[in-house]
Amino acid sequence: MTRMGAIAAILHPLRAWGDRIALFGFVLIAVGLVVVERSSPELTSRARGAASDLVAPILNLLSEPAAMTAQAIDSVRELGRLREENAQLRSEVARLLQWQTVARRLDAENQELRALENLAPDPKVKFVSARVVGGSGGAFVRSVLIAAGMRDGVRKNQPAITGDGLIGRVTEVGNRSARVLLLTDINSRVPIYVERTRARAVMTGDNSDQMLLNYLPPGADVAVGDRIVTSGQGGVFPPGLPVGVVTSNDSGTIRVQPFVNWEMMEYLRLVDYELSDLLLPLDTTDPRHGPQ
Amino acid sequence: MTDSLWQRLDQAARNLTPVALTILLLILSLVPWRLPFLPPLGLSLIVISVYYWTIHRPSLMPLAAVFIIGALADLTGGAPLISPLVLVAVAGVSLSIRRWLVGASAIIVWGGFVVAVFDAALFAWLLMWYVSGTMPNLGPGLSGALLGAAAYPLMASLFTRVQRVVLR
Repeated sequence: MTRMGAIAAILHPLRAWGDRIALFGFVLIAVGLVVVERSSPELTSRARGAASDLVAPILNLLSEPAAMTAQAIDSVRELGRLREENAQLRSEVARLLQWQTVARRLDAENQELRALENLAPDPKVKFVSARVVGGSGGAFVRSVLIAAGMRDGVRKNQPAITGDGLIGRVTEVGNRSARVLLLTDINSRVPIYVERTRARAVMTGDNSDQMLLNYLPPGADVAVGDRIVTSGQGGVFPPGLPVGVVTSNDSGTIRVQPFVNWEMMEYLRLVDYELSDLLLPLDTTDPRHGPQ
Repeated sequence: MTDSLWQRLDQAARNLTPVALTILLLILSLVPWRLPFLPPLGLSLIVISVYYWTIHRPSLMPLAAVFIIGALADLTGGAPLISPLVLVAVAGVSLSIRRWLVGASAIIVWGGFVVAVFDAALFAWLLMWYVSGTMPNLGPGLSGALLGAAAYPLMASLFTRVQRVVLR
C-alpha cells in the first residue's frame, strides 16, 4: 500500500509535467501554423479545398431547412409592411418604365452604331449558378461556401454576382465546392470607379458591413449617393458591374454600402468571361500578324 | 469476454461524446442561418464546448482534439489557421484555473467563461491582424463573443444533462 502510494507520489508530478510539455508542444505547433499562414498562405489552400469538399454535402443538407425557416420568418415580417411596400413598388414601376423606354432607344442606337463601326463582339460570357451552403466560420473572415466546384466549371478568381450586383470572387476551389470571398473581407481589393465622375479607386473590405474607398486621386469628387461600379483594371473583374452606393464621406473616409444583401442570399452566379482567350499571345505564324 | 468488449466499445463511444458534440457545434456554426441581426458566431460555440469540458471532464477533451477541432474550424470556414492557437490557449488557461472552478457556483463558472470568450475573440482579432497585415474591424468578433456569453448558461445546462445521461 505504501509502495503504491510512493509510486503515485512520483507519477503524479511526472504526469503534470507531461501535460505541461504537451501544452507547450501544441502551442508551439499552433504558433508555427500562424507564421506559415502569414508567410505563405497558399500552402494551406489545398487543404482548405479538401475540407470544404468534405463538409459541403452536410451543409447542403442542413442549409435547406435553415433557408426555409428564414423564409418563413421573413414572410411574417413582410406581411406587416405590405401596404407601404405596395405603394413604393407602384412608384418604382412607373419610374422603371420610363427607364425602359430610354434603354430601348439606347439599345437600338447602340446596335446601329456597332453595325456602322463594324465593332468586334464582346467576349462570350458563361455563367455557373450555385447554391450558398455555408457562411464563414470565423468572425474575422467574410466569405461563403457554395455547392459547385471544379467539376462544374468553377475556377479561381471568377467574379460572383447576383441580380443586384457584385458579391466577390472565388478564392478557393474544391472538386464539388468553392469559397467566395465577399467584398467586405479584409483581403478583398476591387478596382472601381465612381459612376458619376469616373474617378478611379480601390475598394477594400474591413470586416464591417460596408466597404472603404482607397487611393482616390486627390481632389476627386465623391458624394453620398454616388453609385460605384467595377473599373475592370487588373483583369479579375470585368468593367461596369454594379457594386454599391456611397453612404458616408467623413473627411476622406468614404464608405460604400453593397447592393447585395448577402445575409439573405441563397443562390449566386459565377461569371466566366473567357478573358484568358484574350490574354493569349498573338500567333506569329498567322500571316496577318507575322513579320512583313 | 464479448460482454466486456462491448462494454469497452460502449464506454469508448460515450467518451467520444464531448469531442463529437464540439464538431457538431462547429458544423452548426457554418450553416448560413440567414436570420436578421444574428452576428457571425465565429468560434464562440466551440469555445463554450472546449471551456466546459476542459473544466468538467478534462480527460475527454484532450489538447490534441482541441488542436484538431481548431484546424477543422478554420479549414472548413475558409479562415487562416489561427484557431488552433486560440483554442489551445483557451484550453490551457481553463486547465490552469480549473481547480478554482470545479465545484464553484454556476455564476462564477459563467463569469470565467465570459472572460475567456472575450479574450479569445480579442486574441483571434490580433492574430488575424498579424496574418493579413491589415487591421480587421473588431465589431463582429465582439458581438459573436457577446452572443456566446449569453448562450453559455443554456449550453452548459445541456452539457450537464449529457454528462449525467451519456457519460455517467
